[in-house]
Amino acid sequence: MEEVVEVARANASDFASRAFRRPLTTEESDRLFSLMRSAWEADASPNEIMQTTIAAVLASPHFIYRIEEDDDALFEDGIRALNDFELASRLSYFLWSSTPDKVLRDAAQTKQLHTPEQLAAQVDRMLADPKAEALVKNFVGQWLQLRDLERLSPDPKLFSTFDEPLRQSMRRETELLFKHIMAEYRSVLDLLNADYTFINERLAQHYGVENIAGDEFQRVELGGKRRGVLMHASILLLTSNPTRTSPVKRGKWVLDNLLAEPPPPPPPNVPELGEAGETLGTLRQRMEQHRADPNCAVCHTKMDALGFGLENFDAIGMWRDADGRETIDPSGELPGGRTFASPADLVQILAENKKEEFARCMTTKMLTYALGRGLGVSDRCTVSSIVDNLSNDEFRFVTLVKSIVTSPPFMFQESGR
Amino acid sequence: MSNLNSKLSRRTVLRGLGVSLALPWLEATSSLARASTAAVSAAPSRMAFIFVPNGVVLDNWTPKTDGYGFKLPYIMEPLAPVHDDLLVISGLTHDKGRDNGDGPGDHARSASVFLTGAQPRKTDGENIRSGVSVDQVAAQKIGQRTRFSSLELGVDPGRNAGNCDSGYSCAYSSNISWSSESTPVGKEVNPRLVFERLFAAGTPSEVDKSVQQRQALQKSVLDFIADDAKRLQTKLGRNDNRKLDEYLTGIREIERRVGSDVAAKPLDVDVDYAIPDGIPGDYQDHMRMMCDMMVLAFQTDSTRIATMMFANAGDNKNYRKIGVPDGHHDISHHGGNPEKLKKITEINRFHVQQLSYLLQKMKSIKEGDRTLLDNSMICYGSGISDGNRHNNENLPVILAGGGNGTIETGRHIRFDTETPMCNLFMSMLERMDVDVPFVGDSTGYLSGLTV
Repeated sequence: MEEVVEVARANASDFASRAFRRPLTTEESDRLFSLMRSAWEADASPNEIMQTTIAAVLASPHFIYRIEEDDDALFEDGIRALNDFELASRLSYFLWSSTPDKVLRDAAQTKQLHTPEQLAAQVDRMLADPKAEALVKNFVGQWLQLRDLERLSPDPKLFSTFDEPLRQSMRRETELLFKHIMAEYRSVLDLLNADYTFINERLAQHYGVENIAGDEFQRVELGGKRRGVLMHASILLLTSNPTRTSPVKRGKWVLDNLLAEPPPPPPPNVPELGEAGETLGTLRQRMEQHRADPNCAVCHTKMDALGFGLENFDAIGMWRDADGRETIDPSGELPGGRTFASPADLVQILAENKKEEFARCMTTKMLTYALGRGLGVSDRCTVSSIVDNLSNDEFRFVTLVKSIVTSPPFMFQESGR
Repeated sequence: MSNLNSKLSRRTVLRGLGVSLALPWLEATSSLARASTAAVSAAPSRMAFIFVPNGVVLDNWTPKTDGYGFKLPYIMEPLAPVHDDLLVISGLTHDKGRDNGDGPGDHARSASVFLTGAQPRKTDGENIRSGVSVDQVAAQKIGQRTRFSSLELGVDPGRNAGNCDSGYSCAYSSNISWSSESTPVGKEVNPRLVFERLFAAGTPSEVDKSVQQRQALQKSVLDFIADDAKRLQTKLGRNDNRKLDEYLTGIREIERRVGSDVAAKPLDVDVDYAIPDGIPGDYQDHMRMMCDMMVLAFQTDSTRIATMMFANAGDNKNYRKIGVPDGHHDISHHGGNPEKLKKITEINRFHVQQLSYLLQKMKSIKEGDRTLLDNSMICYGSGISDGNRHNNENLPVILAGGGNGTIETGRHIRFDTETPMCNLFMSMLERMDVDVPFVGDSTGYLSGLTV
């Protein structure tokens, strides 16, 4: 009997320590055991005792929340280095959206998981693991707003080719480009201007690419017309209205998500566009009104130029030369005077002249994701030094991740008291 | 008001469905109660709030005449079968939905202010702040009389983080219920999960077998985790402790349900509702099924307070099935264009059709001499009046149901502009037996709900 009790006790503690992602204190282990004893005294069967214990562990705040203790005694000048177990959790939830595996637990147990070198070494292993797919799905899903694709429904009268397989393929294309950059140690700038992509038969039809058959995605080299995520059907769709493109939304999306230069909200009391009835003319001519009013022009000059540069792609991301009867003029001028003649041109300018801005934007988004909190003024230095690391190492993705996990806000905790 | 709680606390277990279902308010109970007590007993009063986004086309909404005998405007025509159960209210205002110096973000504000009457803090970070909503004010005062203090329903999934509208957190756009000024109460959009929450206490045999033992085990689990949480409180900073407070509130709610007399007691009654499969693909089916859930909850007296969002604030879904392929938000900026106004009118009417479905269903359920609708107050409306102007005065509001004999319906009443919407809430709370000094920016009660 005593043996059975000891085994049950050890099993419960082991389960709880995996659920809590750290060893249990003696006091916790005792309380867990007294829970089991009270279940036994209530005449519960062995199965029911175990069920009760598991329910308690899985309902405990130590499992539900990722707890980093904010105990005064631990802090020096309001800051403390996280311990090995806390770092194992941070790493694991950042890269895998899941609880630490045995390797991480063992490393934490033997205190081999707190120097920058030790953390960086885990990154290589973890990014190569299939569980890193979670980073692709969750980070890209949030950063580039791919999750919102599920909710969109283009007008079927205008876009009769749009269907569910196409929607799914769109999302997958963007995920696969990201995954490739991650797995092949490529530059994050490929996201902006890769001249290759990953498509299946359904997406190939959509893009007008020949000789791609089946549901499997395969890498194809793109000739000229499309480059980078900005010309992925996914992004083009989610920056459109159900019945037409929205150059303003597209421009705003680029500023928000690629360049981290979000335009301020429109000023109050903006008069309606064409309140006296619709102004006639092309979408572009109507939108010119934005720029006629200096209050609007401040932001719209930038947003609209970016958006109109992508007008060759309709509201579901198909190439078009005309919108109705109007031939599309994809040329434009960016603030600073750089002119472009086509979407590919526009993206080329971004990739050449906005490298730092893009790297800063992506760093900001990924650091936010890794820390699970909004960034503050005090994080600016960290972001700048990560961007420096990136530009010194050809903007490689893995360098971004390693710079994040070895950065002060990742390795240290500030007191929230 | 209702002294019947002890008599109505009997619950039932549904054989066949394998779920326990609270006992509907039966006529037998009522006559029994009358026979045994001299006092005339009343069924409980229920209250619900339904939110629609992006305002309405007021020209096709507001009745042309006041008082009794008003003609239903085009948008309200689907309400003809319940015409006499409506109180159409014009002139109410949500001043705290205005920018009041905070700049754009009217849509997010329109939802967050709808039941709180509080100016939301403009933030898309973690320091969200609104106010306690009227439904939660009631839930905190009288919620302990039923198994669930309140029920929060919706159709579109919500997010509680990120920026949804010009710097306002998504928490503001996708919730109308707030249990504290920093805690939105997440809504359930899956009818199956609502059904299971309401009625799944296990199979009859399980419940019969060892209710006491199960309750003892549940109690020891609750003690264990509450203990964990309390120990943690001393080790965490302010923000983290706020999260932990939500957790502890959740535990207390469960403790109440497990430990109190209102927990399920077995009794055989059939209720004719199939367990929902999940979220229906069709928007209208989805809205109606969520309405069904609300009716079931009221009917079985599982709760007396509910909220529902037919869509989130600023929602941009299209209504292709009724001939509107454009996004709702996009065309709500109609600029006076007659074609767009026509389309928005159709969307407004479509939502009202679903309201009519709900009201007719409630009217079909008898409770003693009256109906469930007679005993309820269903407040339907939007937090802005015109989608183009984003104004917050003269809000479109319908109060349906007789409030347990306290409201004279079949009328259109009009208040001076700038009369706070929260004054209506005060009058509703009064009818729910909830006495509070104010809610949101209320300045008093609304007169005129009776003639």
